[in-house]
Parts: sequence; structure tokens; C-alpha cells
Amino acid sequence: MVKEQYITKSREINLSVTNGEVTSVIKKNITQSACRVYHNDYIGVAGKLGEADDELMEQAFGNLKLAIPYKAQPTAGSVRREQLECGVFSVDDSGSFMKEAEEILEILREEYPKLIFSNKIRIREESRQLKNDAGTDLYFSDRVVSFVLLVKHVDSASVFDDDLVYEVRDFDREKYLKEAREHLDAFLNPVQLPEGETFPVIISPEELGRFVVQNMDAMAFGHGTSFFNGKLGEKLFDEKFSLYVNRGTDIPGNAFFDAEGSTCEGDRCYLIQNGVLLRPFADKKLSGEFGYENTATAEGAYDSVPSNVADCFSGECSNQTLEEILGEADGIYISVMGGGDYTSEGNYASPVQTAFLYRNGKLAGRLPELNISGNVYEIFGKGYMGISSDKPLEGMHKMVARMRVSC
Amino acid sequence: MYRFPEGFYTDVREETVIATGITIENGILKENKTKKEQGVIIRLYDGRRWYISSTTELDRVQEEIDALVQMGKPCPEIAKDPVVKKYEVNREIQLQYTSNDVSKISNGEKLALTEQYCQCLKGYEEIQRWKMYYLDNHTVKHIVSSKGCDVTFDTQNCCIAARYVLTKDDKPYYGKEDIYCMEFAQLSGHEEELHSVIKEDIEYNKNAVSVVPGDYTCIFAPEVTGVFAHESFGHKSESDFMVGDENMKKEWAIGTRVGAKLLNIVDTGMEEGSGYVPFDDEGTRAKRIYLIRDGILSGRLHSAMTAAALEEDLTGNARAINFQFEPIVRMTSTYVEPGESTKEELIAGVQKGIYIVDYNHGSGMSTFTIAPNKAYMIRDGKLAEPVKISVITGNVMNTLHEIDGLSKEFKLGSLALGGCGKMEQYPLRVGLGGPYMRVNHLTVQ
Repeated sequence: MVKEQYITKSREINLSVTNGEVTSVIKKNITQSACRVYHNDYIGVAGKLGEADDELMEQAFGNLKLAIPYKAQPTAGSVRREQLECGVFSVDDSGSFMKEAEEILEILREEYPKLIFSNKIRIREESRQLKNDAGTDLYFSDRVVSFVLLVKHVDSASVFDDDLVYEVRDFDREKYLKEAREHLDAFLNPVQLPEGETFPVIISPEELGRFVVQNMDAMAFGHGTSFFNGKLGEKLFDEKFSLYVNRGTDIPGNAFFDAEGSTCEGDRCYLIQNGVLLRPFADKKLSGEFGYENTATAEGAYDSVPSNVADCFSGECSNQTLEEILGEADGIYISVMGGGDYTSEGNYASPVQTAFLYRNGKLAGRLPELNISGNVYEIFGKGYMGISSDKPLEGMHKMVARMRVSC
Repeated sequence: MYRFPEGFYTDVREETVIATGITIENGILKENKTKKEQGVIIRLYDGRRWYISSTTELDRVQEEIDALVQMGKPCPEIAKDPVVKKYEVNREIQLQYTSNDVSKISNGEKLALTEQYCQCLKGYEEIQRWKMYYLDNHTVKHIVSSKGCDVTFDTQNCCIAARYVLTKDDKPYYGKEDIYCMEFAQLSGHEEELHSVIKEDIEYNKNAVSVVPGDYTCIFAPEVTGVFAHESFGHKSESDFMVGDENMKKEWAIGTRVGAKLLNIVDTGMEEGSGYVPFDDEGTRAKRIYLIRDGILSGRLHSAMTAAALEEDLTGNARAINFQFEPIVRMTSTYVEPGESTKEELIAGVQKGIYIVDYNHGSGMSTFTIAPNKAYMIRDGKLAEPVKISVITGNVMNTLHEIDGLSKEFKLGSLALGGCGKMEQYPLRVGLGGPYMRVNHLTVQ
């Protein structure tokens, strides 16, 4: 029998912004604790808000009677601690953070009187700990500053027109304002979509990669229901496209271990490399059931039995900046999507509420509402141009793929 | 009781949630948990700004109140503040689900019911993998305020949700069916409904072809009508987007024609289902609000802050997904009122169009989007071949004028899994519904 504790803690200062002003200040301090007992291929779990105690472990033991199969060994002898907090702001010093947020909002209001800013500014500290009596003790903590502002033109009848998203570990006012100004200046400069049917589209890899990831689930492969069924080992996509489980520190708030305590060598595990399908993603249980490699992808609510979840993936960055990927070509930067989706044939389509023309290394102007479409094999195949090595927009690496674009 | 500080409006919302979740996947029990969670959110308002604390330490509420006081500036005239004046002072205990409290049902009965529904899925060789969920939730909220509000109320739901995957030529199709009830006893006996949906999905998946993109007249099934109303117009009725925005106030003036004359859209927390909230999270009693009446903009949804800012009445729409979040303006159950036609009459009036049976997700800003899960062509007034569609879209303000038919048949649906997302708060339980509805000139891709 192995006993285990899995504890997540979050503390945050969360500022609500209405009409460019901070209208509420929310302090949060939430601890979520789960105890797990593993015995004879079964698991008992009990959870509570607040700190774990002996009573919770007793409940977990008692829940073994629910007979939930868990045919995998708990993580043993894994010890690692990572504390990534940095930067000048902290949850404990809410005054400084609020002052910074208010000063930035004042700058934006003064410089952009035609725009209305709303939504959230937040600093969040979070930790995750998994320890058991099989010698495992894993701890991760981080601190993330997020500016997620909705932007609306005073003359617009829309609920909002655009968003301005910025999420970093170490907030730097000047960097943020430089990016925000470029974005907002372009927003205020309407331009027409250039002639053409297809364009390099600059977008978050997660949006278009969702379908690929969903179909890389070990459960889907194991039962023959993946879109890529029978194609492991085949080269399906462009040489430049690689997709991996990312347990690295480059994503703020991204823990190096999953909810089962599994880790990846080098904090990454490739599912697709140079266009070739290598392996599906699998937690411990699916790894045992179907013989796939454990890819450290078990997640779930704090008090759940961990399960295989399509989370924590990244496309591999190229060695080119966004400007270099595009070369002489104009790009279409997608800022606010309109809820697109794939069909079961892999055909993707989406309206785009807010898009920008990206020309000569910067946002040149705001485009009219448009539609983008393509097939998954085109988007990640001959249309795939790469993921930027730099983070020129929203503090994120951006993917570029040639897609059909129409107004 | 708490010591409320002078010079502030203060309210405290305590939540107790007892919930069970059971998951059986491909015949194997994956999850069986029952949990009780308690938390509290405390809000202080000094006339300028809200100071809010969310905590699981129920014995430290007074300390949290006292700490929040240090962040604000007392306002001697706080009782005269327009926001504070708006608050209703309800004093009531409304516990609807005491005698049939789902948390009192044994885990064994819940598991047995879930296993019973699993049998429905096991009989189809076309289903290659599946999950059966049982979910229930009994929540009690207690809201007190410095103005004198003291309400206690409960909400409850229980549901069975089937999810399964069919494939054809290695292309997966994700089928689903939800059975949503207010009491455990009502969950039994829906096997035939589930079989019917599975059989329809199998036929759909065998025969569906890619749609030819274009401009189509579409007929929405009731749940799709509901998501259309929610996404196309409901979010625009949430008046927090309008505060301090003079142009929005002009564009969205009450009395403006915004849709076809036959269109009525209602939001209310009074209907049982996933949008049922007898009081909102500020202690305001639920109302029945016509957002659109006879095609004319007739109302919008409010918290106390937005009602004060726009000088309108409270509507009972200040909601939070749980105690960790502040209440913001959200929908409850939003639906289109039924019309005079039958479903068959609506279809008969379409030369070439598409019937949308259900959806995967929807979203809406200036353009609304619905991603259908199952759809059929309409040819010469009759249902024809099944089609696969990525998305249907339309400009919100044009599309509301393009509605030309509503059926007598009406259904208010509830969501077993997921819900509505707004800003950082997802998922919030809401109800969606309406009649069969015919809409012209939608873009189908």
C-alpha cells in the first residue's frame, strides 16, 4: 500500500477593470488537498478544500471500497523541487501591484482616448506538490502576471472589438507598453485585405493544433478511433512541424510533473517529430493498458483519479523569428477568433472578429472581419511555415501557416 | 453574525456544495467521488471600488472583513450610494430540495443507475469507445449583507451524460446524449431516448458527406435555437459591457427594433433546469426579463452596479461560477418563445437549406458561430442527406431580422457538461431553449 498527498495552492490579486479603471480588488487564497491510497491495483481518493490531515487520508483509505481500478505503480523515488518565482511584484505586496496596474491603465487611457479597456489584471502564485511514502517528493511553484484587457472603440456597437493579452513571469512595464502601443496603433488604422486567396496566417499553435492533439490520445489510438489511426511512424506533416508534451519552464505556471508525478526526460516528449507521428500521449494507466510510452499527461481536478488529458503541448519553435519566417510576405495576424472548428474530415473553418495585417516586422493595420479555412493536412503540411523563435505578439511564440482567407 | 464595518456596504456569500461524479469508460470504473466543499466570498464596497476576499477558512470571515476594511476608505454616506440603494433586502429561506436532496441518495444507487445506462452503449458494435458520466450537485448558498439581506436557498441537478465515438473510414464522430433532471428518481427510464439518439448517430455517421459551403436557410432544433439566442443576443444583453459607454447606450436603447417581429427572447432564473437560480449571488430575487419583445429591444440583464449605472431595475443576473469569483452579469435560462408553425411546416417552406439538430459549441460577438454536431440537408421541403459542417456563422444584427418562422413545439434544455464562459469564469450553468426556428441567409462552411 502506498499513501500519497497531492496539494495545490493558489493565491492571487485579481483586479477587475471597467471603463479603464480598477473597480474591484479580489484577494484569493485557496488550498486544495487530496489524499490517495494505492492498494492491489486499486486507488482510493479523498479531497477537501484546505490542508490535508489524517482524517482525509482515512477517507481515501475508506474509498478503496469503491473499487476503482488503478493498474499502475505510484511514482517512486522521484525528488525534485522547482521554484520559479521572479520579478518585482508579489501577491503579498498588493499595493505595489495595484499601483503599477493603475499607472498603466492611466497611460493607456491618456494615449488612447478613443478606446475603452476592461476585464482583468492579475498576479497569481501557485504551487503543486505530490509526495508519497514510496519516496517521491515533487514540488513546483511559480508566479504569473497577466494583463488580459478587452478593447473596444468608443464608436463600436460590439461588446468588445479586440483583446490585449500579455502573460509573463517577470513583468516589465516598458516591454508591455511597447507591445500594447504597436497593437493599439494598428487597431486604430483600418486597412484592406490585400489581393489573394491564401495568406500566411499568424496564430496561436493551440487553436489550430487542437484537432491534432485530440487525435493523438492513446485512448483513441488504442481503440482505433483516432483520425490518425494506423499511421504511427508515418510522415504526415511538413518536416518543420514537431509537437511535444511540454513540461518545461518556458510556459509560465507550467509544472514539470503531471498529476501522477510523472515527468519527461528533458521536460519534453515528442509526439510528432519532423512531421512523423511518433507516439500518442498516454498517462500511466493507458501506457500500461496499450503499451505506449508514459508521456506525463495525467491531469484532472485535485480530488479526481488522474486521467489522460490533452493539455500541456507545444509546437517546436523554428530557429527563425516571425519576421524571418514571413520574409517579404504579408501575414494575417489573428487576434480574436470567432469559435471555429474542424469537421471529422479535418476541415477547419472559423470567422475571425479581429485580425491585423503584419508587414515588415510589425502590425501595419486592422483588417475587416474575415474567415479562415484549411484542411489539417494542408495547415500542418505544405502550408506550414513554422513557429517563431521570438515572442513578438502577446508574449508568445506564434505559428504561421498558409490558409485560405476571405472577407 | 458578522460585525459589518461602518462606511462600507458589505456582503458575505457562503456556499456549501455536495457533489458526486461517477465515470465509467469502456466498462471500467474510472471515477467515483463524492465531495463536500465549503467556501466563502466577502465583498466590501466604499462607493468607489469593491474589495473582495475569497477563502476556504470559514472561521476567519470576520478577520477577512476587518482586513478588507484597511484597503478601502469609509464613506459615511454609503447608504445613499446608487449601487447600495439598488440592493433588495430579501430575508427568506427557500430550500426546494430538502426532501429530495440528491446528496442523500446512496453511492450504490447512483453507481447502479450509471451501470444500467452503460448497457445501452454495449449493444452497438459501431461504438468503438465510450464514457458514461453520472453527475449530481446540491448547492446551498447563504447571503447576508450589511443592508439586511439574509437569504438561504438551494439548487440541485443530477444527470447522466453518454459520450461515444463512432468511426467511418478512420474518421471519428463524437456522439452524445444528456439526461438532465432535478431529482434522482427522474433519471431512470430514459433508455429508449438514448437508443434513439445512438441509432440516429450511427446512420448519420454512415452517410454524412461534406457540405457544399454557401449561403443557406437553416432550421434550428430547440437546443440550437437556445444556443443561438444565448450567443447571438444574450451576451449583448449583459449590461456590464455598456457601463460608461455612451455609444453602446445609444446603439442599444430600449425600444430599438433589433429583430423580426415574431421574435421574443426571454431570460429568467425562475425556470427549473440548469439556469434555475431563485436569487442571484447578490441576493436579488430572480425575475423574468424580455430581452426582445416583438422584435423590439425590451430589457437587459443587470447586477446592482450596472442597474445603478444605467438607472434601470435589478434583474437577478449577478452570478459567479463559485465562491472563488465575484458575481458579474450573466444569463440564467435564455430562450426564444414559441411561435405558430409546426416543425414540418417550417421544413416544408425551404427549397434548399439545412436542418441543424445539435451542436458542439457556440460563440458570439459581432458574428455568431455555431459548430453543428449533426445536420441534414433540406431539399424541396423535405429532410435529405446528412452533412458535415465546420461552422455556421452570421452577423448578429442582420441575422435576427432573418428569422421568419417559429414552431409551436418548445423545449428548454439544460447542459449536463460544460456551460457558459465569460471572461475567466467558466463553466456557469445556464439553460438554453426555444422552438424550431427558421433563419435565412446563414453562411455555412
